[in-house]
Amino acid sequence: MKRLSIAEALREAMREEMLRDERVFLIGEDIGIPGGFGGAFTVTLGLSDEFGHERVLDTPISEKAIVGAAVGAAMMGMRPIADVQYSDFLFCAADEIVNQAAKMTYMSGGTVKVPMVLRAPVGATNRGAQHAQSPEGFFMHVPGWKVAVPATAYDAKGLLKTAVRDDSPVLIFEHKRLYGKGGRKEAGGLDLTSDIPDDEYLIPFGQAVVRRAGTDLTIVATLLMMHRSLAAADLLAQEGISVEVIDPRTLVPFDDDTVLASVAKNGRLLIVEEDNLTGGWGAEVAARVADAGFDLLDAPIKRVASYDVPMPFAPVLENFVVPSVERIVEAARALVRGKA
Amino acid sequence: MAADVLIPNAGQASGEATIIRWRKKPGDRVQPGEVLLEVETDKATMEVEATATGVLQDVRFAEGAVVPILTAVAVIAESGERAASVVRSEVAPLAAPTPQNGNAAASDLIAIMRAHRPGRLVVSPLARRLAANTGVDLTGVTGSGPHGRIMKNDVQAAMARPAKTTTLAAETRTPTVEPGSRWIPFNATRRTIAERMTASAREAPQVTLTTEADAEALGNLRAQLRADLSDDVSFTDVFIKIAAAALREHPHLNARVENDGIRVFDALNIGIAVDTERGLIVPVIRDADRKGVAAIARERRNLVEQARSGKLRPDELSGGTFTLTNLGAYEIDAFTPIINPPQGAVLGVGRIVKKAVVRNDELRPGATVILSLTFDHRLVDGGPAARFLQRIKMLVEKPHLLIA
Amino acid sequence: MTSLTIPPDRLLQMYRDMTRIRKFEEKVYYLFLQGQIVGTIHQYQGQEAVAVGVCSALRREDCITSTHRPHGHCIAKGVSIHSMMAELFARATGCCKAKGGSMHMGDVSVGAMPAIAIVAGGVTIAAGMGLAFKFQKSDRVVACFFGDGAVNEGAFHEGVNLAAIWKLPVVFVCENNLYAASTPMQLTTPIAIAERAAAYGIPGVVVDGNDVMVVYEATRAAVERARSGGGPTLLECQTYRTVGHSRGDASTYRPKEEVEAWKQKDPIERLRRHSIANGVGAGLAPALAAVDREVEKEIEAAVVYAQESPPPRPEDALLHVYGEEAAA
Repeated sequence: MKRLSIAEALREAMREEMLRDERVFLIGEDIGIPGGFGGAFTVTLGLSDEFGHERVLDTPISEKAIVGAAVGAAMMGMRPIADVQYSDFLFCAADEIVNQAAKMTYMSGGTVKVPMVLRAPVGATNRGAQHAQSPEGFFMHVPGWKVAVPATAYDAKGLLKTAVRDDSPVLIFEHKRLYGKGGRKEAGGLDLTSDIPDDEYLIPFGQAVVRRAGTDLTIVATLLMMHRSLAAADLLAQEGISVEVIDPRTLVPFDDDTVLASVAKNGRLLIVEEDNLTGGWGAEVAARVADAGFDLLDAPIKRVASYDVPMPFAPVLENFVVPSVERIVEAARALVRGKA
Repeated sequence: MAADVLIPNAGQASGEATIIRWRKKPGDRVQPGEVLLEVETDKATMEVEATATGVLQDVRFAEGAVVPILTAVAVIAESGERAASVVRSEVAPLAAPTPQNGNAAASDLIAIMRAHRPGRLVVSPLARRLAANTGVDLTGVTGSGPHGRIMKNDVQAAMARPAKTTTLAAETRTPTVEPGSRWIPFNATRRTIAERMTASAREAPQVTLTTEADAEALGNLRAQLRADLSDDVSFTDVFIKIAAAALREHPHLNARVENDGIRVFDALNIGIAVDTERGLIVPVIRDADRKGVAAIARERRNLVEQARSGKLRPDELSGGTFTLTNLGAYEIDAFTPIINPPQGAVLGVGRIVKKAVVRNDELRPGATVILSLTFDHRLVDGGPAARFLQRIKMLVEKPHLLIA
Repeated sequence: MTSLTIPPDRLLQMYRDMTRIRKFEEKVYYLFLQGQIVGTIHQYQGQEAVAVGVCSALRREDCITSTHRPHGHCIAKGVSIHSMMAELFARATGCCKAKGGSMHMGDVSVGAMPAIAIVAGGVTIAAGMGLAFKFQKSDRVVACFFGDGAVNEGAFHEGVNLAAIWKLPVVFVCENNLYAASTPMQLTTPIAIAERAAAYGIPGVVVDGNDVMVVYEATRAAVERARSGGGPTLLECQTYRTVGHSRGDASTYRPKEEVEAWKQKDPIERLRRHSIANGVGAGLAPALAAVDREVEKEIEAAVVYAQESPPPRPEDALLHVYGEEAAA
C-alpha cells in the first residue's frame, strides 16, 4: 500500500498498462520531451525515460492530428492514450471526436472498433475563459464515447486501467485542482492522495460510490465539486442536516441505480457540477431521476452549477461563478428546510 | 473467482443494515471465513464473512452507512482479475438491446422508500395540492397510477364520492343460507359506513370524555332566537356555533393525524350527522365560525333535506374538519360517538332534560345536557381535550360569551 | 500514354475493375432515379483510373481510407459489389449492415476502411493507421484518398505534417477533379496542390489521373518509398468527374465544353485504345468485350441479391454503439 496523488496514480496506471500490453502508447504534446514537464500537469513525467520516445510520442500542436491519429491507430489494433493539455482544446478536434471516433463502430455495422483513451484536464484556475471549461456535458451527449470523471487517486488509477482495456473510445476528464502532490501546484488545490493497493485493481464503469451516507438529502457531484460537497456536508451536519454524497465516477455509463436508491431513501436530490448550468451533465441526471424517481421526490431536483457565462479571470469573479462550498450549503439547506 | 461482498439477508424486518465497522480494508488479502465487516440490523449485530479468496477492493460504503440487505458493499477479486461486478458493464447479447438507463425496478425503489419513509403516500404534486385545497383525505383515496400513484383524476373521483378507507373482504358478498335468518346485502351507504367505522376504530385510539352542562341559558337563548328570527333555529344550530367558537380557541382539535405528524386546518368545516333511511350521512357546513346561527340553521335544514332525498353534492359531503352528532331527540344522554375518519374529534350532544340542579347551594328545578367528546389520542392528550370540552360547557352555560 | 510495360493480365484486370466501377455507378444512378436507392449518392464516373491505378499498386493487406465518394475506391480495393449494392438498398446484408449507407462503405477484411464523409477527415486517421503499422513492425502501407477541396482543411495540414515528420507509411492521393462541389479550384487554392508537398518536406508528384497506367506507376513508387521507411508522398492525380457532385446536381457551374473535352479523355476508352493499338496480347478486343458482358451480369446479379436481401430490424438501430459490440 502506498499513498499517491491523482497525477501519480494516473502515471502508474499508464505505466502498468504499457508494461502489460505492448499495444498501449501515449500521444500528445510535451509528454515525453527530455527535460520537459511530463505533459501540462506532469502526469507523464518519466514515462519516456522508461519506454522511450517511440511509445511516448510528442506531437506538433495539432489536436486534430493527435485525436485523428489515435483513431486510426486504434482502428488498426493499437491502444493509444491520447491527451490534450486543456479540455477546451478538445473542440479543436471536435470532428475527430464526434464524427470519427464516436461513429466509426456504428457506421461500419460493428466491423471496426476504436479502443482509444482521450484524457483532458478540466476546471477553472484563473487562466481565463479558454483554459477553464468543464465540458463533460457536451461529450456525455455523444453516443459512442464513454466518459469517466475520477475525483480521487484510487479512482483515477482504476478507471484509467479500465479505460485502456475497454474496446470503446473513452474520455477521461481530470480536474486541474485535484492532481495534488506531485502535480503542478494549483493555487488552492487540494492535496488528495489516496491509499493505492500494491495489487492490481480495476474500477468498472457505471459504478458510483457513496462517499458519505446521509438521510436528509442526496448530493450527486463530480470532481472538485464532489470534494466541496463533502465539505458542505460537514458544515450541514453541524446544523443537524444529514447529507449523502454520491460520486458517479463515470458519466457514461451512469449508475442510475445507486442514485435512485438513494433518492428513494432520502427524497431530495441536489446535483453539484462545475460545468455551465444549461445543458450540463446535471440536467441529464435531473431528467432521469425526475422520470424514474417521480414518486420518490419530496422536493424539486436542484442543480448548483457554474453560471451560464464563459469563465472570467479575476479570482473574485471566478469564485462567484464556480459553485463554492457556501453556495452548496445554502442550496442544500433550502431544499431540506422546505424552502426550495 | 471474484465475488461480491453482500449484506446477507438474516430476516431483518426493516430490510436494511448499518455498517458498524470494517475489519478489513481495500487491498487486504482475504480468505473464506474471515470477517470483513460488522453490521447492525434491527435484530442484532452480525459479522459478514468473506466467501472467496482474493483481494478486498472497491469498498463502496463507509462505516455508518445504512444499506439495504443484499447490497454489494465491496468486491473480492484476484489481482488482475476483473471483479464480478465488472461484468455488469458488459453488453448483453445482441439479441436484446435495451436503453442504457438503470435497471432498478420501480417497485424496488418504492420498497426502499417505504422502508425509510413509512406512511409516505405516492401522490403527484398536483394531486396533493388539489386534495389540500378541497379537503380530500388522501389516505382514503385509491391511486390509479403506477405503484398506486394518486393523481389528479383520483382526487377528483374521491370528491365525487365518500372515500373508502379500507375494503372489506370480498367474500362477504356471497350469502350462505342459514335457516331462521335472512341476509341483506350492504347498500353503498351501509358499506361505506362499515368501512369508515372499522378504519376509525382500528387506526385511532379513541377516548370519550363527558360532562354535564346547565342548559337553562341555552334554552333561553334558543327561545329568543326563535322569537326574533324568521329562521327556525334549533339546538343543533346553536351547538354548531358553540363548537366552532371553541375550535377557534383550540385549533389542535380541528386537525387530523397525517403521516408522521398532525395537519391542522384553517377552515372550520363542521359536519352534521344526519340519520336517513339509507343510513348515516354527514353533510358539511363550511366556515361555521363565520356564519351567523340563522345562516347555519338555513343551511343545515337544506342539507338535511338534501341528505334525506339523496341529493347531496360531493362538495357538501367533503372537507369536514370536525363533526357534531345530536342524539337528544332519541332521549340519549351520554354516548361514545365514533370519530368520523380521518378527523380528530367528534362532539356528541344528548337530550336536554329537566332535572333537579344545585345552584348557589340550593336545589332547584333546572335543565341539563350531557356533552360527550371523543378525541383521537394520537392528536391530543386528555388534558387539552378536557379543556376543550370544558370551554364548550362554558359556552353552553354562558352563551353570551360567544360575542365576547 | 506511357510506354512502360505492364503485363497484359494486369492491364486486363485494370480494365475489368474500371468497367465494374463504371457500370456499377451507371446502374446505381438508374436505380436512384427509380427510387429504389434513397438518400444521396456521390458518383465516380470519369475518375476510375485513379482508384484502379492506386489500388492495383497495393497489396490486399494494405489499406485505404476513402471519402464521401467511395464507390470507386471500394470496388477497386476488392469490396464485394453484392455487399455494396445491398448497403445502398438499405439491407441487413450490406457491407455496413445498413448502418452506413453510400458515404461510409468499406470492408476492413480487404483493407477498405469505412469511408469518411467529413472532407479531409481521413487524412489524420490514415496517419494514425500508418503509425500503427510502424508499431506493429509490418510493412503495410495506407493510401489516403481525398479531393482537391480537402487540401484546404485543417485536418489535411495536420495529418500530412504529422505523417511527414514521423515518416509514416502513407501515400496521400489527391483526386483533383478541379471542383470542390461547385467551387472551382482557382477560387480557393493559391498554389498547385502537389507543390504544397514541399511545405512538408515530402515529394509532390502530379500525374494525368485519367491514365491508369501512369497512376499505377506513380503509386508503385510512392508505396515503395513508404514501405521502406521513406515516409509519405503527395500524389496529385488530375482527373474529372463526368457527372454532378451528387445526384441532383446538374453541374451548371461547369462549362459544357469543359465537360465534353474531358469525356474525350475517358480513362476506360483510353485503356481500351491503348491495349488494342499496342497489340497487347492477341485478340484483346474480344477479351475486353467479354469483360463488358461479364461485368454487366455481375452488376445485375448484385441488384437481384440486394433486392432479395432482408432489411434490418428496426431495433437493430440500437446495436453497435460501443466497441464491445464490434466483431473481435
